[in-house]
Amino acid sequence: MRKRNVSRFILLSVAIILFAGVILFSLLKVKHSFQGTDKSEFELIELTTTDSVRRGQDGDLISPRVSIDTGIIGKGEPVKTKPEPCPT
Amino acid sequence: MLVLNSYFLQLRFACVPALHCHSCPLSIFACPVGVLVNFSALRILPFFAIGMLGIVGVVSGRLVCGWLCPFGLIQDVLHKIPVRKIRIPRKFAYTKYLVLIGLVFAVPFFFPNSRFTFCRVCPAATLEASIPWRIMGVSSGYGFSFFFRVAVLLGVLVLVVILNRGFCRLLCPLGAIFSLFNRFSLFRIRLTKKDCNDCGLCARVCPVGLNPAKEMYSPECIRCLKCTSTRHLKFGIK
Repeated sequence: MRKRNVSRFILLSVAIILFAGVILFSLLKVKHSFQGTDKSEFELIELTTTDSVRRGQDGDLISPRVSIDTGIIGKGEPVKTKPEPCPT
Repeated sequence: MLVLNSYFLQLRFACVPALHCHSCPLSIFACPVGVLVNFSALRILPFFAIGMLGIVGVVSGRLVCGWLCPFGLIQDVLHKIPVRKIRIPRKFAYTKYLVLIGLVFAVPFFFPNSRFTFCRVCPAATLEASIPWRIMGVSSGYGFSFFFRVAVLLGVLVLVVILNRGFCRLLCPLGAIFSLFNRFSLFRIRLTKKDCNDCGLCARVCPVGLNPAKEMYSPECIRCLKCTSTRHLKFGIK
């Protein structure tokens, strides 16, 4: 029983280190091209919650709609769909 | 609070491990399920959300469902309404995995502009964002999608009145993610064998219909810790 617990703790420690590594990787390395500029994952998470980010025809990330928080209109491709201020 | 939140409490770059709507006027953080849906639609791997959900799951399993989730609190309150309650077969619990795979990953990935991604039918989103935004006059659309969302919300509210934690047990994709960690998480419920006399008291207090003395590592356990009040079960690291 004790041996089983030790191996469980080792596995849990490895899993925690692995997931912490994934978070560090997202903070330090991950960059996404958004309307011609590089954005970190944190910035992209924030943009997806406020600006209806989507993929443009060339595969780049664009924000075709008005931000509900800042009112800034995205500089990406012109939107063809009807504007909708709140995604919900 | 609304004014404070608009200017100072905007931390939506980070998601917290609880189902809520980041479109809510009072929301401070991003919803992890919303981040998964958005990133699926953009076909990007959400490293931060995966790491955060993984660490919380490994440490505590579904403890978040029992103690942190605002929609869980709403369910607990609504279930106190005195009407006839129902029980459901255990196999229905698998529907939440279908919701996770279908509405959180597959539909947004293959149909990014679909009306039927999880966020667009999420009852928490309707309650916390769709209805408040319309009351505040920011969103004015009363089309099919709004009434569909309200119908889903009403259906879920009726469900949780007659079935304790019905949304958590049958539909919640975040609960489905955390349930994968319940068996081996660091903190978990354990039986103090010398005290257990098979009295069935813990099964009577369990809100999700488990027998905690026999199913303490069940993926359905929301770690509300009501069973630990019987003193036959303990919550800890061992």
